[in-house]
Amino acid sequence: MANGEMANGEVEGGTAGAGSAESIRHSPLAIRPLLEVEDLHVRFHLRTGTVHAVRGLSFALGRERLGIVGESGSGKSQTGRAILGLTPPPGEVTAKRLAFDGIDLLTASRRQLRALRGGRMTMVMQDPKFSLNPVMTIGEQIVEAYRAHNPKAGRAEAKAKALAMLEAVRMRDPGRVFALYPHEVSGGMGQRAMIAMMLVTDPDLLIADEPTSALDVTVSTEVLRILDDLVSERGMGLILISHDLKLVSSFCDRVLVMYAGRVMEEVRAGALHEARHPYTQGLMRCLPTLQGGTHPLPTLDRDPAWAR
Amino acid sequence: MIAPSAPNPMLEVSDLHVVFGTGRLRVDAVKGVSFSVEAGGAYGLVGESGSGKSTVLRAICGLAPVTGGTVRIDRREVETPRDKGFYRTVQMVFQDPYGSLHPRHTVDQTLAEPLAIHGERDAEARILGALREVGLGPSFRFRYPHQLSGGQRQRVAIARALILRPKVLLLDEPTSALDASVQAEILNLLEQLRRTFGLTYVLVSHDLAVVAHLCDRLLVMQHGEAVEETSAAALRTGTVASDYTRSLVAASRGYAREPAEREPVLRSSG
Repeated sequence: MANGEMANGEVEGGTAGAGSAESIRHSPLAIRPLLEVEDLHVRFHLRTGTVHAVRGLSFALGRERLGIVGESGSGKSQTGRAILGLTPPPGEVTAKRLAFDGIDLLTASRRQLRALRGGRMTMVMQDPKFSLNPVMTIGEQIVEAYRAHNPKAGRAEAKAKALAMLEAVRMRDPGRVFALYPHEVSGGMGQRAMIAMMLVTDPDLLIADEPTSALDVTVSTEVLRILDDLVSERGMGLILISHDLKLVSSFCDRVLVMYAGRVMEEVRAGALHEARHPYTQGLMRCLPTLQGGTHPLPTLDRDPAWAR
Repeated sequence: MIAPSAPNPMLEVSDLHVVFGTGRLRVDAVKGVSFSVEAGGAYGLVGESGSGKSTVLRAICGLAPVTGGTVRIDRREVETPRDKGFYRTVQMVFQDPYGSLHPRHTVDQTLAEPLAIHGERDAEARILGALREVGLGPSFRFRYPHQLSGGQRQRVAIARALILRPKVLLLDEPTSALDASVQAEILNLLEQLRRTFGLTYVLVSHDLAVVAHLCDRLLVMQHGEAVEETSAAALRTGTVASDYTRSLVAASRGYAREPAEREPVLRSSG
């Protein structure tokens, strides 16, 4: 097991770096991290050259809420996809170690990966309009997800599970929503249905890639609250990928700030003002605030050394 | 709702109604919205999607039907269809710089088109000047949109809107497709251009902080109706009248874990 390398390796208990005290608090039972990522690289070999999207990313995740934040092109989404083995061709994923609950994801068979994906580790994407099947009712889709990973389950059991899940994501009338098609529901309801589908298999790890960016602020608060409650109730690990520093830092336990495929720094959520890296500081300063910030807004000067 | 009239109004919208479709398919997108913006002012429209904020902008510049009410520019009621003179005075910048620029036109062609339509001379110098105003060098002149970043595209869209020297700029979510650091650059540019040319802005955004940064006064909309007119200063101090606005302010502060923050008024999506 890889343990000593990472500053946040929970295995190490008291001996690890400063960040570990926080992580330990959220996962007292963790014997080994739920997810171990060490020196992850994602490369796309294109005709025009190689795009190195993720460059040597390392972290360990327990049953906690980890945020990955960065601007477009920072590699945050490719990180999430690489973990699930969803890197689109011609992408190439390499790592010293990429393991979920001790299972090496790089050497696992396709069959093993299929069983894990959508079962024990799942992903909520940005826009429910594109990630739900438009020609199946919401209920059927949740039933399908459940039965795919519980082959012995009968239809009645799966339906009961789906209805319970729709209720868990606070649909007002689960029976009615069960029979609706994705185009018949609002964006917020669609995203809640998506979360229901992803959580019905009782996963250990949920990766949420910009789960609320397509939603209105007020609806997004509600979706986040549901996600938050379910994650803490079920003791899942959550990776929240977002461009929104304010949101991630108020939602997660700790935050990785990514730029040009690398982690610039790890920040404890709620301690964002203590962020030391000029990139994180710059990102925070350039946001307009209701409190009436500075005019003109400070802009971000990118140091070429960060990308090196 | 009667909007307090500004002393020197550049844009007055009174009792605006916009209806799409008829019969069973009738949608009342905007229901009696009124506001006015003084010359050189910046006015914000905020609300959730479907609140009608963008439709108000589109109705002003003739992209949506004005079913009832009036729109006055510089105290003159606008005609339908809008004439050329209108577009000399009022221009619009759209949300998505990937969709609003012709993919097979160079920056030069994009900027030359409004000049040609309005029979302007001296296109060469005007185009170079417009590029300079938005902080792009002459080297960008013969590039295609796919050779530009999102922020550069939005600068080109702003240059196109400004090249006819309009007095009113309608901005429909001008920064929401951009990264935070690029957003800051565009907001600074918009602020500086307003000062330099004495422009009047109407800014539509779902981001309360962006509106509060750029605008002095704003209108909060929901379900096609005005909820309240308030000011950036009131948002700052939290002295807003309606629960809905208060919930928007709370939501824009980020995620709050305290159950005390639950707002029962927001159950509108079910």
